[in-house]
Amino acid sequence: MDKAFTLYGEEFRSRFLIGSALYPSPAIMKEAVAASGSQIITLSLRRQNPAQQEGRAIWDYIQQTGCKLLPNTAGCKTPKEAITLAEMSREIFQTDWLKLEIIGDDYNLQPDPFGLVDAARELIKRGFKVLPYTTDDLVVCNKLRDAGCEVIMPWGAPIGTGQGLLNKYSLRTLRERLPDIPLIIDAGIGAPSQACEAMEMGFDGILLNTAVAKAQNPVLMARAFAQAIEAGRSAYEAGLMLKRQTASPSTPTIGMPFWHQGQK
Amino acid sequence: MDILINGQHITIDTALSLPDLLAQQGFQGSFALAINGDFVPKSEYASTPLNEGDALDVLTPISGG
Repeated sequence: MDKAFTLYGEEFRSRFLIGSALYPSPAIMKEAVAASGSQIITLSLRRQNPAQQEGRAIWDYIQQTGCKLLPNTAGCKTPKEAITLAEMSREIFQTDWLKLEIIGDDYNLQPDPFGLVDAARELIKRGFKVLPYTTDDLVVCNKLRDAGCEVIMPWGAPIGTGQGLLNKYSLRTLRERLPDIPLIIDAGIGAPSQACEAMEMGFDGILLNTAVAKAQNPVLMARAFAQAIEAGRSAYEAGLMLKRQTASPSTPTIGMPFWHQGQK
Repeated sequence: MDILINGQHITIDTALSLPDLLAQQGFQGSFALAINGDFVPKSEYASTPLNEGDALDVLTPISGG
């Protein structure tokens, strides 16, 4: 049976964390989230004209999903910006949980590892439960753990690229060297097969948005990811067979008829 | 007195309080405030003075990944 998925002391049935952005409509977003079985949803804060009803509608729909809210600090480039946004999020959303993002490069939205560690340290001091979006660098992840992060979220590939697991060596290293901390692949996943592979490798969960929201049928794709993530987890717990170089018959050879009859 | 709200210049009466300004601008319900990049909790609105050139960021929930 599936072992419990516990993040900051809270247990979840689903290992699929989902984003709320980029869907064709708020109604489709809500339906896709339901199909995903996700229990944690990401969202953000932005400047909006109070006269615009759009933002209010999406917020209503997000609340209706019943998911635990995981506010992000998307777009922040410094610890100062991220900490201010985190405090604002905590007041509005009434949660200490935070997906910490500090972007160090505009071209590939690569996290700034130095700012990330500094911000994580300060936010944890202020009582936040920080889930940092980071690169797959072992040293950075170690420092995030030492800063007090109880969950770490390495990227599979840059946000929105759908490239899958670009550096499997680093990801395997992370899993082996950080066996006791939940590791969630966040960003870069484009297909259910990639999510399944990450789970087979022993990652604890998957956070994604674009691959579902930008599918031709987001609701069906949400279900496909849920199935893939569950299958990958079961496979990891079942234990994959070892690869071998040479063939080995699966059908028994004892009792084989016509044995050696063709040979002289 | 000139201030910035979400990047827009506005001129306000110097006697206007922060809670009155936010109400006048239509902000109600789910929003949070930063002044000059620093978070201002709701409990401190009434005691927070506004100064010439202040930049207010009033943020509301939006979808995110």
